[in-house]
Amino acid sequence: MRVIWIFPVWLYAGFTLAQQPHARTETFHIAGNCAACKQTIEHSGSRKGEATLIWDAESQLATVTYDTTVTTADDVLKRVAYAGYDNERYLAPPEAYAELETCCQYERVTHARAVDGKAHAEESHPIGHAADQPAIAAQQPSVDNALSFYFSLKEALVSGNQKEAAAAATALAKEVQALPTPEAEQTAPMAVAVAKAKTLEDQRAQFAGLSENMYSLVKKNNASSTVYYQHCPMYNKGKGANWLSAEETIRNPYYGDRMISCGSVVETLQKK
Amino acid sequence: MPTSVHTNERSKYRAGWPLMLLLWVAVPSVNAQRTIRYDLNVTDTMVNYTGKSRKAIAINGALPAPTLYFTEGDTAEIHVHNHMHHETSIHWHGLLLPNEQDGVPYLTTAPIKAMSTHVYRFPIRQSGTYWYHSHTMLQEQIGLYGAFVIYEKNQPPVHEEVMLLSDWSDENPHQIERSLHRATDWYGIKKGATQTYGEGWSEGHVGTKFVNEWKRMHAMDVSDVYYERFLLNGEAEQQRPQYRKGDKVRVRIINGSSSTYFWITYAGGPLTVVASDGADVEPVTVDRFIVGVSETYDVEVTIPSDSASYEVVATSEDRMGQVSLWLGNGVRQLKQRLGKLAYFEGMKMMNDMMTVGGNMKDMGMDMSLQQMDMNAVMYPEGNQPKTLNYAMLRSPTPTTLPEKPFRTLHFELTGNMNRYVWTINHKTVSERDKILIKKGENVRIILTNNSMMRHPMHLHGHFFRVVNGQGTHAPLKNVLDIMPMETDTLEFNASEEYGDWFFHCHILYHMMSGMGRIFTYEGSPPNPQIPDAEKGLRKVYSDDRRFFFGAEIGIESNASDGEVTLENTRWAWQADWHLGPNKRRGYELETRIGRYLDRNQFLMAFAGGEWRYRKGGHAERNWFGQANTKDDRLAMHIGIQYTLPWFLVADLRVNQKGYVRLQVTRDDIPVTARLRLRVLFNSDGEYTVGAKYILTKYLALSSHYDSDMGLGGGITFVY
Repeated sequence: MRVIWIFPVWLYAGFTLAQQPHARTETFHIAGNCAACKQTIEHSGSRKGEATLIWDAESQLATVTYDTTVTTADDVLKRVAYAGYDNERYLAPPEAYAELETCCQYERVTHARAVDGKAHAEESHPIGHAADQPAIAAQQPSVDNALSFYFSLKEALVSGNQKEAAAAATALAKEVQALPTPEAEQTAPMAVAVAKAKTLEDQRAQFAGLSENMYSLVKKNNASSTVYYQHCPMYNKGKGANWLSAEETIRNPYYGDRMISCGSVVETLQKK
Repeated sequence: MPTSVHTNERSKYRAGWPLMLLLWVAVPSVNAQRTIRYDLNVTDTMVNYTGKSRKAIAINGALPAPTLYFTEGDTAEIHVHNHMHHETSIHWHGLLLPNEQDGVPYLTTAPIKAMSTHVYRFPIRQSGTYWYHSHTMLQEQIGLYGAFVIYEKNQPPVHEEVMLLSDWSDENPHQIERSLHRATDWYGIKKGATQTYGEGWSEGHVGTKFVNEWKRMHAMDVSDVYYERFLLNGEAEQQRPQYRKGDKVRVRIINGSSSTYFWITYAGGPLTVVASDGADVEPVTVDRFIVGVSETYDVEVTIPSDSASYEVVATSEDRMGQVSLWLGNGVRQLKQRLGKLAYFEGMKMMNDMMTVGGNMKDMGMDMSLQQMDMNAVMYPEGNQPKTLNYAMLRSPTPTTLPEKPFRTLHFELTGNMNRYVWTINHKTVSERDKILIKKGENVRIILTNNSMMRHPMHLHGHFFRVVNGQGTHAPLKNVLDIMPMETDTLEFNASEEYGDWFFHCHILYHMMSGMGRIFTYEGSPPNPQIPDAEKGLRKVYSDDRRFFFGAEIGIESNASDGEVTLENTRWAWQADWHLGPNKRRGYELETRIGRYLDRNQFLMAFAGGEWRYRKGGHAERNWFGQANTKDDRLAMHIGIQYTLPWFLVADLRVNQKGYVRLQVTRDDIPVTARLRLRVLFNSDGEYTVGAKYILTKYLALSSHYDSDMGLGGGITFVY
């Protein structure tokens, strides 16, 4: 009896959110890095009868459908941040971030990426400056920070977002300028070149050079996580180009959607 | 919408040459003292915080009232225009002023009658963060409160924000008050804090719950009322985007709530407390602190970066809600929320502290000054964050009192949670005379909290020193939060000229039930604002003498069982009935008037009458061998009711023929959040078992089996 009752009700509830006139769908950036995060993010953001959140790990974009009469996008994103995930409106409390599974502790880069490329990049700091937040106390410029900006840049190129790429490149330039190593000195102008590039194609061309420099930088000064040096044989009329990635899976930054999984790992740079 | 008029009297004198001559004499005094005038238009209004329109009070069209700004040395002239159809009053909380300006209606100041204007006028003798609110009944709960900020002379401007906190309920405050006196557990249901046997079972705390009820304590909580919303300057959150990295912002935090304490935390770093209740303290840096009802704290926070905005969070002590003031611009950095309270842990702790006789014992821990927060056993985050307590407050200047004789008063804060009677030394305001003090003498109050709740005790018109181990630099305050089992010492000099000064718990519902005392200066002249002082005092006393109505009426298929009551601090009128569906089942009616006799109000003596009718009944023998028939019995009786451990109410009575009846009842045994059981048996061999499932605050599904009436089901109205 019970089951018979509940089933149509459940179906109906599913339909109502999608069909009702007050439903609104928006897309937001939510940081995170794996399938385990997906479940937590979606669970924290969704609420029966109010909102459903579907998060895509690759693009780090969440589609939020919510009933405007009972909730707001702010409420949804706030819940996600309390669960530990930075997003474009709210940054997670350090305690919540620290409680995430190790695999889910995504790089807390900057909100420059989060605030949809509004050229905030020049003031990009790894979030949370406060002295009482030990989880993010490392404010010194570091290879790790530089790498995380670099990865943001790479992701922006994968998704073909020129604005985001420029913002991330600016942040990266600033970060590597502050690094005391000779490799960094060579890297900085390349990052600036990406930032100044006018088109996506131009950015990708400069990115190829930047990636070579980043490679030497990471090679000499180990990062605290494993980095993969990856290769695309097709780029630049068959001359090929390389890039660095945080994960082994290929996500080719040079062609966007068309050739996204084209490439191979040429070297694994071990963490220190 | 009327706006506040803020005029400087000096501007009048810019009128030109003709006036100059006239005012030549007046100029020196004008320079010495400027008069700041505000006009406050008080109106009834409707507000909608939750989707429902509710009555509220607006000042100058808004809620809360506008922030009033002054500079030390000004004269305040505040015109209060009451446009409502009922009276009001305004008390200037924490201000040193002539007694007739203090704003306690009928005691110090004339009430502001409907459709009239009252002018307050007093010199500003201090600086800091204060506030103002109605002192009439429960008006403060529905909006009549505002911030009152006084600058020092020539104080350089700093970044500053006012954070006026309050609590909002959609329920009429008088209904809240009545329900509290009826020991409603509806608020517990709304908060998910009923602490039932069922929950105890699943959390391994059945024994804890049993001991708790054995010691005659209801579900424990840190606050009694369920509030739908908490407000910051009248809103859920506010943002101040103008601040940049490195800016220091002074936040003036005022707890203008009726009964909610707030925890303060900051997402951008620690908080530096620089003043409390308007008086400066040596800066002390903490991770969090609690603001008692009606307390004020000034804190300094630093904006750590330009890339985000940072929240100053105020979380209600029961952790049901929070409000945020966002400082800075950009993506919002959240502060970790305070986790839900572990109620059973608190209950266990309370069990250890409470004797079966209803006294609190501190197990020799000499608790004082918020240093040992027993509630911390309920906090999931524990006691790790650095938390402010009163022992950490230190005045920047010596606060020693003049070399005068001390008079010492011992106040024991006492209360009866079940009947919601709150007292000092077991007596309400109206049950005790005013306390006579001499101008110039020093008064020392030794406060002990022997009740289960914390109390923010507020003294009108004076600052007291909180004796806290800082010696000559004891901090000055005018509100002291005292936790259960604590003992604190306050000292003040009777430095005013004359008048009556109220000392009371600032939890509105505790104050209204009589938790306070009135200090009166010896030889005070008659107060022109209170032409008939005796009548006025009766009016003040009437607050805690009020009767509250309650009822529980079951309409079920086998019978109607019902009870109506009218009770105040000491007296109770009760009437109940058991009406069968027909003559054979019978009818019973009874009524009684009683008075609670002991400190804890476990014992009530009563006299009353009863009528019973049952057709075709036969004589029955009771436990004591006495014969009786219920055929048609009209009897007068006297008796006592005593609340035994586990809330078993024993009722022993004897009627004019010497017939004795003993009856034992236990109502509202909480099984699950909404399921309650009851049992009753008596020496006539009658018994009842019943259950009800609570649907709304006023309605329940119910069923009971009665030895006379049989089994039935229906609904029960609870009021």
